[in-house]
Amino acid sequence: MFKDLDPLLHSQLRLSIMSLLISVKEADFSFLKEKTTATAGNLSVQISKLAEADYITIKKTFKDNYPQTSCLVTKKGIKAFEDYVESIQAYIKKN
Amino acid sequence: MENEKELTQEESLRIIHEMISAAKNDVKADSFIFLLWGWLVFVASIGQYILILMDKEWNAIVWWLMPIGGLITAIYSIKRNKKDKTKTNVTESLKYTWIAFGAAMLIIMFFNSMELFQVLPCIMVLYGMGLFLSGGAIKFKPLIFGGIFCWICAIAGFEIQNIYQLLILATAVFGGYIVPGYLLQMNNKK
Repeated sequence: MFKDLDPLLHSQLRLSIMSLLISVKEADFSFLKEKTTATAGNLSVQISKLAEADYITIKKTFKDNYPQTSCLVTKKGIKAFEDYVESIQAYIKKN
Repeated sequence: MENEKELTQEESLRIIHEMISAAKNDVKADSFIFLLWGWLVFVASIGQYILILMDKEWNAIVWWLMPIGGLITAIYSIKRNKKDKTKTNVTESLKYTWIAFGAAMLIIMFFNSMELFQVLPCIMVLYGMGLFLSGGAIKFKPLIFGGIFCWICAIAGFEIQNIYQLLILATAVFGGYIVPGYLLQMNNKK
């Protein structure tokens, strides 16, 4: 029923991450964790999957000797997100 | 949050909507900077007024508080930026508003050939602009009203070009920065 939907975005957590990153310019890991209420491990895995597809860019920095991860959405990610929303809207209109 | 749960289209839309709303409502402007500048300018303008009344030629010395304020702002902003990497469109527009304000202030302060009592109302106009835009960006009415208040003070300042203008400036920052700053602080604690 969802044959046109991007499988990478059609997942609860990855869609949540992308929706958050669409709304902000850049978000750190703790922000994403707080808003999605996901576990750090799961969040980390899903972020990596989105980064592998070039939907987001991961920036790693150091703060007080602790690594800090922040993410931002890429142009490819914005396009994929827009296409995903369009597909859902098209499906709703059809029904 | 589970990962591979099969989503319906309604669930997808709900997630998108919830997350976008969550990110949007997370914007909090920092009251510290508003209060810092409010009090610095308030003390400097009242201080200069008193020193002029006392016939002190070095009355302008109080404005050395401004570079100190600039330094504190820079250190504070860098620390805060390191602590919180999340940048929303609103925090970005706030940043650009105040960079533009700072640039305009420096140009007026260092490249004008006007007298002090013509410069101060121009600065109040800029105060009003920065506050009005910030209030609009974070949807916080006291800052918007603070901005309008600064513009009214600027008009009064253009009309009254004497040392009382320093008191008008103190009133402008009291109503434009200090009061909205404390209201913002209270609002952020909620």
